[in-house]
Amino acid sequence: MTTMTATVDPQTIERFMTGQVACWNAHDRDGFMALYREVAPERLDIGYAGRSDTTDGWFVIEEMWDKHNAQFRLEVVDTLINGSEAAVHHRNCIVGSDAVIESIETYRFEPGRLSVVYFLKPPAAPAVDLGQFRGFA
Amino acid sequence: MDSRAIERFLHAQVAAWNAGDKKAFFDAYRAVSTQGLQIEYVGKGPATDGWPVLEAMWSQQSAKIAIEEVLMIVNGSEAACHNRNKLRGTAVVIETIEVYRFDAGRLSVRYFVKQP
Repeated sequence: MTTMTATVDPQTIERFMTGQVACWNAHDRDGFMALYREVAPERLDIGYAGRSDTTDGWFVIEEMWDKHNAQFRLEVVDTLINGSEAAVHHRNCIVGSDAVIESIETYRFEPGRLSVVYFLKPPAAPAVDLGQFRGFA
Repeated sequence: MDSRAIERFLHAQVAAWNAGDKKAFFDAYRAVSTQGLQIEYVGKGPATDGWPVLEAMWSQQSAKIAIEEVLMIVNGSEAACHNRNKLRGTAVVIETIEVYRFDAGRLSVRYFVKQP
């Protein structure tokens, strides 16, 4: 018997990864959420490394946008796509300051589902109250 | 494992690799993997016993590649590293993002590799 595992093709993953950064920096909320809905119509899981608390991914992503989109500009250091997964190194630059929250993020794509894990590094000298961010709270 | 011990391990493995010090490299892994080591190349199949993977990695690549640490993030008992693997004597760089999970003497490592 042969077991077939459905996968998401790398072009779709690349389009999502590039698109979410472009939409974030363009303050295009509709475009950003549409990208997530396209790849995760069935389920979106978002977690923070080292933490066991679970919250619905849609709540997390909408909260992130509403609280932080105006505060941050994303810079992509690198994006690596292997099979149905991606890992990225981003610099989350706090607008109006030199402060940066660096992140490494992993994305696992399955048909209709997306699981994201954020690793976050606080800035050396916080320019903002880190307690306002779900990943540091 | 606390975050400082994880940071020590991650720096030690890179230092030993770059120094060509196989004993120190494997000692570092043995200290954090007393109950087992699993390694996965993402997209290439499931995780497997890490010791033969590590042995093959050392024998095939340690003389050829020097590692530059770009970013290390330790959150709880997990870590993620962005490393630059520089092919010695050339301008070729292989970027990797590596995810480490430490769990009661067990270490699982997942490598994301960007081909040059």
